[in-house]
Amino acid sequence: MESKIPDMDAAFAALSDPTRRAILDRLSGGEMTVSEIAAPFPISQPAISHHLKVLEGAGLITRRVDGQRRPCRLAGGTLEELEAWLDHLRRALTANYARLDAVLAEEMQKDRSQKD
Amino acid sequence: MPNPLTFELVGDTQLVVTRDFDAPPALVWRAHMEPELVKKWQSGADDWNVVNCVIDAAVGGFYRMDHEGPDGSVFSITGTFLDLDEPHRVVQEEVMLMPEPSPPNHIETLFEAKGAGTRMTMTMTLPDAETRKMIMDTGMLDGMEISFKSLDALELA
Repeated sequence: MESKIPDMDAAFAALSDPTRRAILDRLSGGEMTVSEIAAPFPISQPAISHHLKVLEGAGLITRRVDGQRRPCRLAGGTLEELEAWLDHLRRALTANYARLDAVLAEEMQKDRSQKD
Repeated sequence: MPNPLTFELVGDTQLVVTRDFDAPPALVWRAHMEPELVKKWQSGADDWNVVNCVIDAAVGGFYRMDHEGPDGSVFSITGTFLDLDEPHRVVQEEVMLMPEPSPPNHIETLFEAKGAGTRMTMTMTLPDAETRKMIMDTGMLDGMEISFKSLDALELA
């Protein structure tokens, strides 16, 4: 599996700043928008945006585009993402095969009534 | 209560799913190969439906299922049978069209007699992260889940 942290020096440099560590701590709860991240900090939103750019450049967070917003999340969540996907697939297959049970029962009933 | 589904990761890329059915292998096989039967259980009752299903159950044969969602969105599952041994074993290579084609997934399915029923063991190669995201974005798995809700209604009837 490809490393999500391409440059260890950049990662350590990014982590050397207490505000950036606090941002990572906030993101451990899940995805957030820039204004959500900025809320508890006594610094401007552009300053937070700068910190986010450093964290993104170091491969510690990822951002996606959602209309006008660019929400952030912790990177390296590959395993968690895979687990979420598998959970979804498991529920989908459970549903599918429960439905197949009904089709099989119906066909067995047909076979029985043909024999009678 | 429906039979439980087991779900086991093997290595980084393989997923083994087992499920017992209260019907003999010959019938479980038919339910996977006859379009009219496949349509019934691959469709969600009123939200997602298989609108087109073609299956050529032969080595080298092609299959295709077009699923249509409530908002008119469509995805298709297509594939080729690499090996068939009715009613015991089928190996297929599957490509999902969303509508961009996914990388092919290799799937081997065994149907073994177990008492009066069948144990199905399906070994599939996991799609890569990008493909997984595409599948999530189409709502394809959500569509499959909807059919569960309709099953509950069916059993109550």
